[in-house]
Amino acid sequence: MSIPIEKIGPFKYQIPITYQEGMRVPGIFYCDETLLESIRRDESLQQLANAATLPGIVKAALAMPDMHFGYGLPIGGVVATSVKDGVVSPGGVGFDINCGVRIMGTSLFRKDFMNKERLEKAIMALYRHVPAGVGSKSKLKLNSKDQRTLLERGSEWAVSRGYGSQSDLEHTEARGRLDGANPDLVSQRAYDRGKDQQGTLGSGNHFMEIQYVSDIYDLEAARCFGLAQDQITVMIHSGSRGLGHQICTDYLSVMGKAAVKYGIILPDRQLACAPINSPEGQRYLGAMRCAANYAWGNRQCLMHWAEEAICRGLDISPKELGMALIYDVAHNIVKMERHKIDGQEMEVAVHRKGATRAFGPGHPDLPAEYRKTGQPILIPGDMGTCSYILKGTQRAMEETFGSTCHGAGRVLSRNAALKASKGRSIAAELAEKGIIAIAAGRETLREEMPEAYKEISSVVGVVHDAGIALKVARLKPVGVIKG
Amino acid sequence: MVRPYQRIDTTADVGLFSSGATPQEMFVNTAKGLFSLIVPLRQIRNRCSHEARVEAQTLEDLLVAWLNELIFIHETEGLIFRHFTMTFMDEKGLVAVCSGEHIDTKRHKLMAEVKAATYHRLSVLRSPDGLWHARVILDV
Repeated sequence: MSIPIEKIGPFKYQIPITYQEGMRVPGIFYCDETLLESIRRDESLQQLANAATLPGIVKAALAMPDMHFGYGLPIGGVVATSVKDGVVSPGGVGFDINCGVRIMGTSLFRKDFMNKERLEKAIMALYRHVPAGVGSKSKLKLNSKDQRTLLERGSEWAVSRGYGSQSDLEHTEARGRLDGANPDLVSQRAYDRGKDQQGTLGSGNHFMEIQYVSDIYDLEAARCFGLAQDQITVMIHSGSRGLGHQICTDYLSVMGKAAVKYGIILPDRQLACAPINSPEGQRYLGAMRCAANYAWGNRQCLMHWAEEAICRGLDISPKELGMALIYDVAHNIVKMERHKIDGQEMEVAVHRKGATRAFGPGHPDLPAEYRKTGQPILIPGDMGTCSYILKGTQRAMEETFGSTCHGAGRVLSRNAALKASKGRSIAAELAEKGIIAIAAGRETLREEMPEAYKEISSVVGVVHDAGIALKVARLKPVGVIKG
Repeated sequence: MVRPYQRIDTTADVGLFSSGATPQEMFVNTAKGLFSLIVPLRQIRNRCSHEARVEAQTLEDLLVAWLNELIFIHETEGLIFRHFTMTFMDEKGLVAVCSGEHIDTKRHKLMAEVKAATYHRLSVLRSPDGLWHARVILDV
């Protein structure tokens, strides 16, 4: 059955509350007509309608223009539930808890990489020095006390071990640590999976990329974020690794039983949930925060290895490289936040699954230097195209619980990408564009080829035109390593 | 001849459709399908074995739990498996011996990291010809 949708704004569509029994709010999503075609091709609109049935959901089940099929809530989905009488759902966060992105500025410029050999040296050094791919092992050996501290303190733990500085914490969403993380709520299986993976990149769409600033759209904001034309930046995309995946798996099972216990009727098992104030809800939140902190520690360590590797590859000092964290954002997480709903401020659990926080100017949770511009938002594109830095807006605060898109979103399945790239060398095609790409996995480059993703510029164009984030700069890749 | 397992398309991830003459055989074939996503199966030598024990409330949930147990052993022990023998299996539990070897990055062409088996579009059924089939989507 075709899902009825109504256009309610230039880039805004609605699935009416009458579409499906049990919907408590409408589904609202942002896109343009071209993106709508690919959105209609998968099950994500139905998943958005399903999410609208969650008890305690407020305003609307929202989705960003990069929306596509996910487990439970679609990727690109944002759901806020009332802390007083709403539910929390692991399916609203995803398996890779606190999958996210960080970007570092450097003192280098594009001209420093005009010499191809130099770029190759930097990329090869990253590839050798940063553990990536299936079965890769961390350089860190964590005993159980270390693991507990990491789960409680996130980035702070990494900094206390010498991986980074205090200013990195200022430049990380939530200062790289969610309070209320309880390591006792994490299963031994999750500990076992996470033990050797702190400071590893992972595989699939995770990457580390050397880029340059190709376009600046907002000079004032770019200056504030420390960005200049042609400047070299380094981007990291990774998450909470096996520890987070296991926590999601563990709690999906807990929540499946809890939903029955609390009489919650679910249109999809992957949306399993429990009241926030129930023991099951609180236990999930305590464990989920541990995974979020693990992921922040992970990206903090990865940043440290990246700095070491690039310095080694180029034979320069950290001072000459001048690597500094601009910002780090989570895009799979649930957080307690205060938002205005129908004029009333209330505390809600904002589930962002493949969606980025986009707090606007003046928000007290932002570091002082970004409070005037709004939050830096990092949107990675596919490895052959470009990535964007945007800034948060007041409009996002009003319309989307301070949220925006997170990336390009897949259009081709991995299998379809393998078929479409049969007989082609993606590495050679990228090299022709001046991009060096190396992957640990045999099929990774083909599965992750540029055509497998939506056009990032259209996704970013929609959020910009809809005003739920504004373009600051565009970054083009020169080298990428993948798992 | 029915294929023991095949990949099915989903936009974000990978699905498996597996078959077998008995539930045991279908479970074994799904496990082979899982490891075929991680590494070409022919590259796995038979060097060591590991026991897996799983319990669940239904046959469908048992399949998800079985795959999640294999993902757990693979990730924590660095093992990859090619042969599976069910020493016991009923609707609510199984004990299996899984044979294979440790990952050797020099010899194994590793492909995907599988995060989890999901409940999405999960189905286990017996067709009129008596064969058992399963569909399961994996988050990769």
